[in-house]
Amino acid sequence: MTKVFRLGWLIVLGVCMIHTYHAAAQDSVATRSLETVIVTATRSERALSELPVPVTVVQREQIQAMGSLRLNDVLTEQTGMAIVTDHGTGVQLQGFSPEYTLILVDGEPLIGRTSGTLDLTRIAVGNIKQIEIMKGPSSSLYGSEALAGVINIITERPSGTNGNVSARYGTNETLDLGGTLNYSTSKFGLYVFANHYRTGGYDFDPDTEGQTVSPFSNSTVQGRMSYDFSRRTRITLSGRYFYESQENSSNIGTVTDPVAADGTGDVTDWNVNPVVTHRFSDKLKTTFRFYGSQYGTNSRQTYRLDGGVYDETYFDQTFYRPEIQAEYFFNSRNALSLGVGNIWESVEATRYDDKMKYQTRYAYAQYEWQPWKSLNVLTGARFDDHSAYGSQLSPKLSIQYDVVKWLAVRASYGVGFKAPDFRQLYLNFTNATVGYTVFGSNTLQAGIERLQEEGQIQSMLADPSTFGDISAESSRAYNFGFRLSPWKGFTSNVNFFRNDVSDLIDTKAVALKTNGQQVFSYYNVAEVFMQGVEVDASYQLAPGLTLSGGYQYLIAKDKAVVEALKAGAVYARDPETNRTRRVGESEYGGLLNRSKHMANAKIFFEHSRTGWGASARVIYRGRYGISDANNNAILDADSEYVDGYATVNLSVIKSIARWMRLQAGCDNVFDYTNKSYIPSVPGRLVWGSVAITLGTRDKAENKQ
Amino acid sequence: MNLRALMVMSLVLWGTSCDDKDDVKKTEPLSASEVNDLDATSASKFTLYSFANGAVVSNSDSVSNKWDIGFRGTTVILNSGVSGPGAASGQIVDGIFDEIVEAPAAGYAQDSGTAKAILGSGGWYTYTGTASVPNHAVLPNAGKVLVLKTADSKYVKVEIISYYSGNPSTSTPTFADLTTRPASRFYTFRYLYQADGTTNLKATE
Repeated sequence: MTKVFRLGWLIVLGVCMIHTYHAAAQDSVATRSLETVIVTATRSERALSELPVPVTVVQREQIQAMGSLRLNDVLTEQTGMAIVTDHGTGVQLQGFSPEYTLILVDGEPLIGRTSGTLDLTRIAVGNIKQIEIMKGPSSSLYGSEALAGVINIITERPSGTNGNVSARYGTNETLDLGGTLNYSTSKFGLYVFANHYRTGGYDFDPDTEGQTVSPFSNSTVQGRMSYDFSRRTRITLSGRYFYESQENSSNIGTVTDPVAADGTGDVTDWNVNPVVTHRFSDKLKTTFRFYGSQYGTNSRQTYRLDGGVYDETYFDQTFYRPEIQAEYFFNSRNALSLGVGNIWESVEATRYDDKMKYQTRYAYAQYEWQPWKSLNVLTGARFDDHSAYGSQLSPKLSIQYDVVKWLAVRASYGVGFKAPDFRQLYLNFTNATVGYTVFGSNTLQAGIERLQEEGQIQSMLADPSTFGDISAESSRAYNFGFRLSPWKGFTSNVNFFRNDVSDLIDTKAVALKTNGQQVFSYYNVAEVFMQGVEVDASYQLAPGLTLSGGYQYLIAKDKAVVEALKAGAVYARDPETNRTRRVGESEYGGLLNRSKHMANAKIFFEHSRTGWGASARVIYRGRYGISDANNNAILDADSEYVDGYATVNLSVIKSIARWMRLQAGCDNVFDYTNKSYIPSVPGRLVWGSVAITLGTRDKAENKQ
Repeated sequence: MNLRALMVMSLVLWGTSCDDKDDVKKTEPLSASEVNDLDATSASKFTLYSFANGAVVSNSDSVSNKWDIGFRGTTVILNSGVSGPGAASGQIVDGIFDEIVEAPAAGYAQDSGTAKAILGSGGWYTYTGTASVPNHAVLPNAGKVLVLKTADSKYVKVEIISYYSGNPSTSTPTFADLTTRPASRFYTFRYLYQADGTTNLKATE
């Protein structure tokens, strides 16, 4: 296997070395100016209109008009995306939990997930040029985690010499301060962004110890430097540093016998990303990328009474990856990309016995083909060889056909996977407050033996040997849709999707402890499917006035449950008599936390002569299951759902003399809250902001 | 539905129920009985029950064949093995009480030192803990029917319906709130006892 990868590196390098200069060839597969250009689909700049895969692009102007601060603020208003809270704020894509969506900043993955969720509040949006959301599996390019899709945050590029400062204050003592600095000459470019965010949080239940959302503050510094050695060679260096600190308090005793504890926590996250691109000719472009990242957390809880330490944890993750990519444009209609790379990952934490390490070697190939002007084909595959669980091949094929000028049809098939993460393999964790224990599949056997020796096991509920080794979760996905633009100013996208997921990792109880709690471990079990349709439309009513709407219909079900329902083997208790009755197929509501219906409607207004602008957005999330209340392990009874809800967000903007921007807004105007089931929705938020631009911002010079 | 239709329907129903009564008289009657709020609150002693008599048996008769099943907290015992001098045995069968019309021929177990014949957590009930609402509740698992052979080798099927006083609905906020939840350790169950020794557990209409 090592040889194969070494060979891969040699081939890519070799192609670069021996290639000689060729005359310019106008390639339509490559970028066209003026159009929306995205990089997520191919790892290189391509015109959005020619990509055969569904990609949603959220531009800087829209983010600004909404007055968003963090990534979750932006994503929650996009069609088919539900913000869900599980050890952090994550996003659900085509019905997949947050752990199946890869979050990239300028094409490089952010690391640091808790229980699978990468907390989106870690990402400030003040320096974002555009957000590219690519739905459907993208493991053919990005490997593990890109099962549901990829969200790629493209940050601003050095442009002109100018600066910008902004301040915003709002409900819950939420303060956001930001600034950018731009400096560029013909060869050198520098862009620096800094942000400080602080919130007092909020409390729905003042009678209990601790707040619903505890106060926290964070700071981000992000920078990018580029230097053009020649017309053909460019080096860029980007980096990001993030620090967050949080304070909380909680009752670690019982309701009748409270014991107060105070906690502090911090998160540190940095990454560095040097990239060298060299065009050997107009036909051959090579990119060498190195990416290193580190993510760490510390938390400490002490008794309020005597200051004694109640619990102390740390988590430390590293990620290093060199990669080389070569793109070859045979002619205007054929382009080939090859890439090879190596990932070293490690985790050291309170919850693991030792420092755990993974290594992944991978290679990918992608071919773009335009047999006719109206037909675009994108195909590729990636092979990942993982040190802990084996290898994975992820192919993808997408086709777009422009039937007529105003109608394009596209279809794609792809395979995505998610490698078992460190916790699923190596966790050794006992909850300090409640007392349950979770083992990874590799630590289970030894962990159970140890607990047995210590006399902590009351009885076994399952044979640990039946859990076995866990393999990667994988999904086969089909997307089919079309793009319609029958009238000037009107565009609409429709996409039908179906994902067949297998080997989903779940937890199951292994043993009952003497303290009445259980021991859990991970195993591959479920086969689920998620299917639905997504519709997006936008219409420019008049210059500066845009209406848009979106809707997603989603069905997400466990295949085993569907089979059991067909066989009549699923039961429930009648809520009135408590007697058992049979559950019918139509009663099954599918996987928890999935809304069948989600919709949004937005209106954006901008009057460039007077500098006034405004927006109103309505975001609806239909009812969804929260937990099984009638004890049959499936979602079926009405009492197991939380009602659907809508939030209305407003903002007004006034630009003064091109250098000052005043903005005010109100999010969740009608103050929707659901304190018991959706504590993550904070209620009405009123805010005001001011931004000042210094120097001129020259868009034409925007460098890639 | 208008009043006249309602009256016609109630007449019809009344008529049919009269017919049923006549049928019951002709055949051997076999019907389910329900036991409400059987007190299993004792920390030390099991509350013993006899299906043949349809009554609680005094705990002083624990070393006898007079009882079939016993309850203490969430623990359910049968009069056999480590629990009693009898030869009772049982198993948990998946299905709906009314649809289980024939006792299985095999699969019965007696109480042993390592496991009771009727498994508690993961058997007849689930303890919700903090994993789901209502928290810290003992909820009988749906679709689990206890099929037992009594101390004198008669078949009986049992559905445990509730573990809380008054058989309350468990999906209400009142139940979810631990301060307003009815007292636990009170069993409501229904059973159908076949006195003739056959495996027939079908209720006569």
